[in-house]
Amino acid sequence: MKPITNNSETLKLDAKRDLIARLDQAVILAADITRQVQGITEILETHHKVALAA
Amino acid sequence: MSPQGSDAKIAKKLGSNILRVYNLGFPLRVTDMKNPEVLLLDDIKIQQRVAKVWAEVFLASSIVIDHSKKYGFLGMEIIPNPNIRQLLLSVRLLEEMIDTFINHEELEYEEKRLMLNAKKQLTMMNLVAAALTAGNHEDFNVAMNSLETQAAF
Repeated sequence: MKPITNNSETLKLDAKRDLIARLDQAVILAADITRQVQGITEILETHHKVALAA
Repeated sequence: MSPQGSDAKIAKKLGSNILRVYNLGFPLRVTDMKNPEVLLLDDIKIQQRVAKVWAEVFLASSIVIDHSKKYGFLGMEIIPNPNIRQLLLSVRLLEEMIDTFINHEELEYEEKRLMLNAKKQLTMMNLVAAALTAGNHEDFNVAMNSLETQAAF
């Protein structure tokens, strides 16, 4: 890899790394939202089965 | 890897040297045309994470749409309030994070487009949840229609 010699390049690299770190957090949060929605699916399915059986 | 070949058909040239390759709208890789063996790793990491956030939001939206089709408004009204409140908190937090990404100068147009689409889906999910909490059937239908349209974009 080409050595970083330019200060603006270093800043650009830092900005990208910071963005990647924050995107990692967003990926975790988005996956958590999906898990929560899947949890609601289970609630709905269970309620529906109980309602049908009643 | 050479940027030539079948992949070139779905490739977009960015600037004079950078080639970005797409498959079904998802960015696959970025190649420096002057030095095709060198992948711009940080750019790829950014693209992968943006695609992952969008895919998760799309999956969550698809499940909510499926709930609506299977159970309808009345069936979904039984979802306990704490579950909806927790979901709303997470949705709002992710919306705020996405706002900062959309304005980030390191994000390319294609990633910004995906983030904007994800944010619109989250906004619609927010409206669906709010309508359910308020027991407003009409607003629920409007929000669900918008969510279906946005998710298909």
